[in-house]
Amino acid sequence: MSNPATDPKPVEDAQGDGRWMSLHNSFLHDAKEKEPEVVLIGDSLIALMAQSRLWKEMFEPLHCLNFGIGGDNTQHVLWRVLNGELDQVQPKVIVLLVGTNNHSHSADQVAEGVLAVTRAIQEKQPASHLIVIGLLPRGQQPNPLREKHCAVNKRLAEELEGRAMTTFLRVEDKEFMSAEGTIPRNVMYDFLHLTMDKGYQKLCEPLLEEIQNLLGTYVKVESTSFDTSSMAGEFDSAGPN
Amino acid sequence: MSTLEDPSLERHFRGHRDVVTAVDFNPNMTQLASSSLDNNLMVWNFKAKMRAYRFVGHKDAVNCVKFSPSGHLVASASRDKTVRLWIPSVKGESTVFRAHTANVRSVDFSSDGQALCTASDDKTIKLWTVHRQKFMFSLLQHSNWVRTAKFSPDGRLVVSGSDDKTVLLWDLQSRQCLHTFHETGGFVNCVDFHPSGTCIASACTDGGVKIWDIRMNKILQNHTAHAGSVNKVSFHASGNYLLTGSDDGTLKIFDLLEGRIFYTLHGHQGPVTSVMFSRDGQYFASGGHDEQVLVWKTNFDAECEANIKSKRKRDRSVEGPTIDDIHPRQDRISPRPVSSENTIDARQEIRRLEDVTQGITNVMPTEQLGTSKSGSTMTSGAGDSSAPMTQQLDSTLSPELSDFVQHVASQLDILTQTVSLLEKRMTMTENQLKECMNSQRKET
Repeated sequence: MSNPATDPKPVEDAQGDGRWMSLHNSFLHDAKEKEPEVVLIGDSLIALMAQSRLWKEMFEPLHCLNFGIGGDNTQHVLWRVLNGELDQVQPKVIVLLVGTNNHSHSADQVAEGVLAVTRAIQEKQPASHLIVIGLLPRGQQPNPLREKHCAVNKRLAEELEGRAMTTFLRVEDKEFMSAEGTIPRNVMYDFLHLTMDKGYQKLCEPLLEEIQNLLGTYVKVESTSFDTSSMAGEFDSAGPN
Repeated sequence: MSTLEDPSLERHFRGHRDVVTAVDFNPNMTQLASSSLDNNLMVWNFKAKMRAYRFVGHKDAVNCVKFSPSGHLVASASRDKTVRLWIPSVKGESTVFRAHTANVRSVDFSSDGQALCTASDDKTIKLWTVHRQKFMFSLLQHSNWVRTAKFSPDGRLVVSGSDDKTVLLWDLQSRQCLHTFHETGGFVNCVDFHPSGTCIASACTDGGVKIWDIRMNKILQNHTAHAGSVNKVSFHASGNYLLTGSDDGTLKIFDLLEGRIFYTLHGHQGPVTSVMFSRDGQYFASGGHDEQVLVWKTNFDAECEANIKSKRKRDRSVEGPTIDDIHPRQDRISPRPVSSENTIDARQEIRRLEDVTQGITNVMPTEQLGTSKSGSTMTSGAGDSSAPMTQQLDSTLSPELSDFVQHVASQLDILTQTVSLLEKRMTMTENQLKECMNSQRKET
């Protein structure tokens, strides 16, 4: 039986306002207009990152485009990749996080789905470096979905190991939890979505480190001193400050 | 009391094959230059029977084009990391020099025509001599792509705008940054000096246009009228009007004395990516995503010009415009009807104004002869005279060797930057030493 998680499909307009397709078109437009060095694509965890405090300070200066859509499954992201969202851009880094919404699919199917998206991305943009983020835990207490995500991540880690131009970024589950294994509301306010400061900080710090390594640049938050990207930047002209 | 007329569309030039990135009039108003993402420059002649020139040479998108103050040269900045200086004639001789280690976004001439300043994605601004294109020094402080850098009218300052959300004011004598203006709304697409040199305008990706006073270091006006990113700004020669072009598809003219929008002009399909007033302000040009270049007659400045001339006669002993000239004055009795902003829609007119399509002459450097690009006639370029090493070598060396040479060239760039930083450091150390010695002397 074929895997529905790998069968590219757009989201059906069940509510009648065509929002998903409008978003897709808006992304196509951005892809043509902007000059991104980093493109992030995936579900609501990617989409809401653009509202976090860190986004404006740390991601915007890196010339990022956010192609996340809330509720997307692997097959929806796959459809978007195959239908132009990565056609006109030439980013140095692409970040992918999707899979938590594939509720009716098994762990293996979800892993296959994510892998299918990675293959599509790398076919479109072979020169970009791809960062695949491992699925995050969810639910206040330990529950079967958390185990499912662990299984997906295990499978992804195996398959992506050693693949060129690919990084599998797994933020340890315990980062998001207290000692007893419960997820506090100040990290995930609804036990699924990350909070704008504390939650996203846990995800974005390792993500930003990886992105900046790949881009070879360092974003200064309090930018006062002279900063160049050449080796001349090592000479910090120590002013009276 | 003269009757004020609305701006009107005069000419409509077609020929570019991609987004038009910049437009500039030559000082004697006989030509208009435009640059485009199609890797080419066009020089359009206003005389009816004359053909337009398409200058081929850049290997990638051309981001900016500027006539020299004399009108004898045209400078272009490109994504191919080079800057070219062209002679805008049918021979189209040009020299090329590698200016930066990344995309060059803008180029500007100083008002005496002796210096060039270039801004790049490599986060630097560089100053060059026009004669022989010698590198003079770099301005290093931006922490992200520098999209725009302009000379002040007196040539002593440079203002720059960057994706690090700052507008920096530089002193060319000391090569230091005098002041940082923070543009919190987004990236700075374009900056321009007021003709008096006392304030600057900045265009931001959040749709805002700000006027900053550079003597008091504060904001004078903040206009948020555009619905999309503002791509370019240009001051009218009188300093009383500001022209802007935006992603929202419109051009707007702001009345800086009244502090509000004066006109909104429709003419382009899609984003307006470039705008520029002519040197005397009687015309302005715009370029857009639709590959069109439009030339408009200002008309509403006729009263302005008369006023400027009479004012100059009266106030010869008095200093130039003061800060009060820029502030919007609420209680001023306006000679024109205080109506809401005027909208000009020239889109219908464009269809009527079926421009006597000028023939286009392709002008290419000699190496590229033989590879025909379009149907129009070709004329041989006289070739690049005194082009720097890298450009000449490119055509005769194997790819590995030319790669190596480019690598060496970029290393040299880095070394140059290092040396200039070292120089700066030394100057600072010397100054500090001098201070120490002075204070020691005072104590004894």
